[in-house]
Amino acid sequence: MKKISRFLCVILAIGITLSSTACSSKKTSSEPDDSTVVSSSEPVSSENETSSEAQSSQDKTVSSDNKSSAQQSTVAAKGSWQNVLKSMPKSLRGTTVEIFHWNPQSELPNGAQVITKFQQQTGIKVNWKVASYDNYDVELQARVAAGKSPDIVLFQWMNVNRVKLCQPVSAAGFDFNNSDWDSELMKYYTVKGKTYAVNMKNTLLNRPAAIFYNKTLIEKYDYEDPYTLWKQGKWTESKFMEMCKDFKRTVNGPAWCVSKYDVWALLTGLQSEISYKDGKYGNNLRDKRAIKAWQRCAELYQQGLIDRSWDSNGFEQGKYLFFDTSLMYTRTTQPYFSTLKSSGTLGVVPFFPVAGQSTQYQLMSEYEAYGFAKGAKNAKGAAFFLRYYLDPASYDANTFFCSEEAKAVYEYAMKQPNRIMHNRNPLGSGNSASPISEVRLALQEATPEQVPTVLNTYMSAVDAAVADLNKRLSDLP
Amino acid sequence: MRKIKYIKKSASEKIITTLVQYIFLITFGYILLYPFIYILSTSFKSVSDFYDPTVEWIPKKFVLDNLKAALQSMEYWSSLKNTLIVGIIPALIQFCSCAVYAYGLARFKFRGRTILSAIMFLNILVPVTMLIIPTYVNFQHMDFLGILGLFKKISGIDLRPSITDSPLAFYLPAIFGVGFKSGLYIYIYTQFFKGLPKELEEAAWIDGAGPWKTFVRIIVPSSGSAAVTVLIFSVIYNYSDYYLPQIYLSENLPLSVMLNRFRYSLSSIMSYYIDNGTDMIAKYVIIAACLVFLIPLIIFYSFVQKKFIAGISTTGIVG
Repeated sequence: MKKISRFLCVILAIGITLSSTACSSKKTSSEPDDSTVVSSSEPVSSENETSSEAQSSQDKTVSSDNKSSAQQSTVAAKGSWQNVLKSMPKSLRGTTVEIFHWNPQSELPNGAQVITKFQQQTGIKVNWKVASYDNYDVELQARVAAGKSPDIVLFQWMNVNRVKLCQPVSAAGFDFNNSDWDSELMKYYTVKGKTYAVNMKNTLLNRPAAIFYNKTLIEKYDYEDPYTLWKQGKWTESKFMEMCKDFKRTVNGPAWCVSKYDVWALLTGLQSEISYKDGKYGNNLRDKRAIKAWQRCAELYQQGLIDRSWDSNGFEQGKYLFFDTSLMYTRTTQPYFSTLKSSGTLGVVPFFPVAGQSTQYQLMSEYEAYGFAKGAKNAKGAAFFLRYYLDPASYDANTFFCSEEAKAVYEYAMKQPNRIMHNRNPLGSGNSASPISEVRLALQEATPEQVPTVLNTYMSAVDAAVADLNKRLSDLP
Repeated sequence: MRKIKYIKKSASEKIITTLVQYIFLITFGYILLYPFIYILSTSFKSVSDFYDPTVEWIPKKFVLDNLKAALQSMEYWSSLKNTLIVGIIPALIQFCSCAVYAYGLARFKFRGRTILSAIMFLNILVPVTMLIIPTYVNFQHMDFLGILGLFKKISGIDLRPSITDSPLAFYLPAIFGVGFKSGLYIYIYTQFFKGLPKELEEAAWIDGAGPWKTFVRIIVPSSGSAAVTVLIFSVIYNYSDYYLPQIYLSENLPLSVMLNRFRYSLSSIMSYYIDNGTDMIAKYVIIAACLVFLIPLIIFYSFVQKKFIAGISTTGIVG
């Protein structure tokens, strides 16, 4: 018995030793990568990359960054979807594309029908995986580490943690450089010359911000309709403030419920506390406009004109005259403000031009874009899916938005030349424990006189956060 | 012998003491019950109540629309079935398996006992989020000591099963005592078993019972209160957990995940109201969803409440 147990121990020890050698994966360029399948027309080069957080030694990526090969197989069609469809390689028929989203298909008006039509036209099956919003990056990381990467990843803003889990869009071998695509937005997702996320130019799937107002209250207090004023070119900051002050006098409560305490910073061209431009993060607290912008927000709060909670129910109940938020909430599938929508009393108007400012900025609450995960099995098919999914012609714009006004304001906002991309949370969703959250909280509590002191107090903490973000960017290939 | 002096309280002192006790209990009870009262009140409010500033706690018009919308949006019955599969069954498995491991730790001295106890504490101390990525990778390619991986290298055949998207991702850890909060349950059991008199087991050994029979025939029947405590904690934690099901499962989701989704996606609620052509207040539907989520837990707790209180006092473990 003793001999048998000793023999078993030895066998187990040998097994463990051998298996630990099997665990290490040393890839050579000639070794095929079984976690990623690409079109046979594209040569494959494999790299040994390991996510710094993941413990899997089998995290492999395939990228077709070889320029000449990408040019050979790049789909260059543009214009209408039918044009693009003609250029789709037949080998993509029968393949599957997996999109990793935190909303179900039904979040988009007629979203399910759009996907069904795409499947019918292309023969590519779409797997819609719903992730958790709070743990999106963790789930994505786990999937990439386990070799179960989705094809399409969603971005709301430049998120370096998420970018690290993605491959450049050029890997799909699809031409994203033509005029169909929103090159201006894509710059915000470009690092070291490589773009990691895309969106189309006139897509209905983006999130510009606007001012919502309650038409019942406008009529009740005999104010001029903001939408009409805008159409007449008379929608100004002074008009807006006049309405707010009058409302405050009448009801003795704030007139404007702001969704972003730093809305004035955004209107004056600051991407909130941290900027992202030309592939680099920066500390906006040093910007001269920052003090004035945040002081303006603090003044408005001190005057009792604004409320800084996202009180959508209060707005719906008629507690506030104005509410600023993303135009995404004017979609017919969004239940927010549903009673106002159904009674036709939800008004929408773009932000007013800031007095004395030569440039009018269109605020983007979030700048939605889509990328391809590392190890994506069907990046090319995913590119075709995005081309159809993001195409405004795939949707009925009249049933997309809750009103003609909402549609008109959306189209206006998306055409604006100077869009300011709100960096809501550069460190990723669900990350509340950061100096950025602390400085926001402090600025919310500050009086106008205290704003410079608060900005100075948090300068070094934000500097450190920016340095950390830039370091992570520099780690990207 | 020491004399015990009884201090008689005057009538006014008794009244004051009783008054203070009741004030404290009512205040504390209100704080604890407030969320539940709020949920109960809001779930039955109508759209007209939303616009009526005089309506605070009692709706003027009781409606069931919010509950119906919540049930439909959460796909309640199928989600409840999924909760049973990935929540309750693992809870019951843990309830049994942790008792076995705890008995071993409590009663037997063997090499490595200290290490195992340390691992048990690590299971309690280390948050699930720290280990989720390697665990997911492990579950995606289940392998014992890398042997199947070695086999794959040699033969090219990948025999490593994937247990993500299946209940096995919950059952296997529960069976082996490394499930969700298993360390806590093992600790509760261990403390209880250490408190049992050894004479009980010695009597069984003398009669010829082995360790397993002693455990089943003597220890298990004696551990009623601790077992109920573990059962309640296990059921509640597994029923309410949304993090692990969210990561491991992409379909057949339990109630906790469906409820969590309402935080950022309300289109499923919208479809109910579009189908029925009615107005709705999203907040009321979400609150109603919280209510229907709580109902099975309340029913469960009402059956085991008595034994639970007894268990708390016996084991000294709370929360």
